[in-house]
Amino acid sequence: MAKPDDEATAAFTHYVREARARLQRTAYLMCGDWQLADDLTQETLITLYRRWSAIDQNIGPTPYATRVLVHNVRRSAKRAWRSHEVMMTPPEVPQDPPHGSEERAVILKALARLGPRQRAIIVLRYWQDMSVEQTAEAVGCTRGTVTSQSHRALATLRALLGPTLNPTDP
Amino acid sequence: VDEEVRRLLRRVAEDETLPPSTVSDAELLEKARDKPTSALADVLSLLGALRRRIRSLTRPAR
Repeated sequence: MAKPDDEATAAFTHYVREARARLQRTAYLMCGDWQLADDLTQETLITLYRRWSAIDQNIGPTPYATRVLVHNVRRSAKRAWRSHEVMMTPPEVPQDPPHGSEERAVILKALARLGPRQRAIIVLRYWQDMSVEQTAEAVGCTRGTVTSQSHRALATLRALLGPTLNPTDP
Repeated sequence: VDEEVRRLLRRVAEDETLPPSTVSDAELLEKARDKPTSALADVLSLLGALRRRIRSLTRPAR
């Protein structure tokens, strides 16, 4: 595949400046580790650069970049699982409503209880505000799967984050 | 609950300052340019695109 010319390289550089932070935050929500999120974002952008000339500029590079990022995150989770880097027991989620940085830690722990695909779906739907169709395209599954997995993931989060999700509940 | 999930995700992703990356944008571009082309990676990528296209064409209408 031909490498991008100067004009395309300039467009890519502009895209990196504009989108890199958001991709990195998306990766962080999906993996829970800033260092890994940085690596996965770099890997994604390198892949994007190599495919730049094949990207439909009417659609823009974001859908492809998101698809590659989700793929990289899931591949990394699989690799970690194979090498037993994941915790055998999921972390405990406290039942009292947390505050500040404690709240962030609790949310991350709850997200860690979701499978990689469910987690990606939740992040894309509720943080990236993607439609069901866009999420299905990015994750590589059907719209029905996005809907059902999203429903299950929300039920899990609701069970784990009850006090955090509904802080005004008695 | 949807709005609450949005708020919580924003809190996790946006309240913290983004840690500095290990490589700058310019270094990233250099890495992307220097990475050798792999014919196998190109073929696998094309096969992936073809598979996704076939799957979308053969997916039953709901």
